[in-house]
Amino acid sequence: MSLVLIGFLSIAVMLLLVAIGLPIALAMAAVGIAGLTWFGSFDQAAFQLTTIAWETGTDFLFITAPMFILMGQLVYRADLAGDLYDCLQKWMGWLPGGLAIASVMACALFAAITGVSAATVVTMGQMAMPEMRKRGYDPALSTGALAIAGTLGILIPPSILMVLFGIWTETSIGALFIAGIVPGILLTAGFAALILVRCTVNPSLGPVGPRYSWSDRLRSLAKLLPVFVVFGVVMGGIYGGVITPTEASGIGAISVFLVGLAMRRFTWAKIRAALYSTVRTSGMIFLIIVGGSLLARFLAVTEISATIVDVVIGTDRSVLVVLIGLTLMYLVLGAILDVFGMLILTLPFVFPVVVSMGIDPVWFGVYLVIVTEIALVTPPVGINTFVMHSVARDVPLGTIFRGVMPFVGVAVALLALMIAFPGIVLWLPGLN
Amino acid sequence: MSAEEQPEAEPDRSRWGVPTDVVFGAMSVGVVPAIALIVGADVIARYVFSAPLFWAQDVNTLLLLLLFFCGQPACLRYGDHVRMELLYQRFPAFWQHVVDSIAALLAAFIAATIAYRLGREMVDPFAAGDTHGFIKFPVQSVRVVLIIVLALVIVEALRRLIAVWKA
Repeated sequence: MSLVLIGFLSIAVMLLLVAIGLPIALAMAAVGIAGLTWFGSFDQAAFQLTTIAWETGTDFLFITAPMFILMGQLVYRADLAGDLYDCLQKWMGWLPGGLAIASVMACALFAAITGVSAATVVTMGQMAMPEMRKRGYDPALSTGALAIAGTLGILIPPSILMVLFGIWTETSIGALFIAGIVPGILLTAGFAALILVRCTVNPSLGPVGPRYSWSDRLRSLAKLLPVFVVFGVVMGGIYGGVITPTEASGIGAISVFLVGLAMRRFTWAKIRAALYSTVRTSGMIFLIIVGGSLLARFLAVTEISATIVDVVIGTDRSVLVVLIGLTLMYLVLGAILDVFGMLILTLPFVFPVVVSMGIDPVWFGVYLVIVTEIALVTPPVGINTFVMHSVARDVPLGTIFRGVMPFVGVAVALLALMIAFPGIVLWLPGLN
Repeated sequence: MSAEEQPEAEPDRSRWGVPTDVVFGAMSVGVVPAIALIVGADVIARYVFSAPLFWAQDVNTLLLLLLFFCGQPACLRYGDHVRMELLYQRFPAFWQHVVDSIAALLAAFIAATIAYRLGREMVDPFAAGDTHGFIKFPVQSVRVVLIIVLALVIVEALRRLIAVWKA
């Protein structure tokens, strides 16, 4: 049996284990151990597993992940979502579809700071849905807007997904963060513009709300200033090259904690819950990384990655064809897998192909995150859509999927723009 | 859905879960803030006083290792590990139990494998004197802690295995 055949069979076994419902990390680790034992010995496999766990666990760069998770958890537990929504609906509510626009922007900002997607949909959905129902908003528009806007958190920095992509592919995390800003703003603006146009053409979709005085608006903005300052310090510090992303993550977590304390938003129970969630999420990510790395080491022995690269390059496909193929693959995978699992499963094969085709790793990281966002809301298993359904039980799933589709069109349009004009992504990091 | 997106899980109050909860609780409350504080202190010392804490990175990486390992029993306990449930949810209860049992056994096996390797390093005269970083922290003591945590993972996995078939 050839090495490559063993590699493909191993991947098939691993996918089978994942398909029947074994945790992805365990499935990858099991196949990795079995493969390395096959080629060497159990002792060698155990050595590799332990070394990977030790090296990953003591890699200073990985501190970024738990610290940004903690920062997001603290923002989440400090109930800042209410302030955010209140502020934005005072500024935007008077526009056609204003509440939906405010929801999109609030989701974008909240998700950006917390870095979580589904929790944003739940939090914002519980606040915005009753209000939009009261004002007679179209259910498809309101639920679709909330479901898609929750995904913006993994694109707008700081993003855990970008941290992991950066570590796995040895791409600058700072550059990835900075590169995500312009597409994140464009996507948010695109979603808002879509709502505005649709509600202007058909006002029954999202009726106009009351206007608030400037003093009301400014007062609502003042409540959010501390959080924006923290966000500015973190991103400004990274962009200015003053602090590293790892340092920024720690500073961000401490700053949010102090802001929350000053605003009297924390109880011991909330702080404890934030710390517990941080350890659980970090532990979950750690095992995926260890399992994925072990599998990658085994697959390196089978030379399967090199073979795939040779095949793709050998067929002389254009970059566009490869990107379209990758987009379709990720949409299918994203419909059935978690974002972390999807990335660690595919990056060992996909990234060498991408690099060998001359695609910029930073550009590809941002592209991958946007494709992942789309996968989070597309049928049959767009997780955010199901989460939205859990918040608005009276809105059928089909209606939510229908409501999401126009927004998916905006995201696809942005992908097309990014392919046509890579500068959209690379311009800002290039200035640094 | 990741742990950060899940509602707070109700802890299982069974006797065997207590050590996991104790270790998990202590590590969460102790290690996470410690890492944040050390990063913060190092940034201030480095950029304000031009006197970086030489031990900060070494201590933090050891704490990170602890954090990652101590999260494992809890992840297993609360079912945080990412899985694809599309087919699983359509399986009859018996096959779901089989899959859950395989997962529990795999988790125990992986933990046992790492513990076995760490144990071998502990008795290896060439590795016994290993130290970590500039601070020369004795790795042997870290190995002991990790083996204890891995033992907890095994206990948790076996508890889960029993719970699956009891249910």
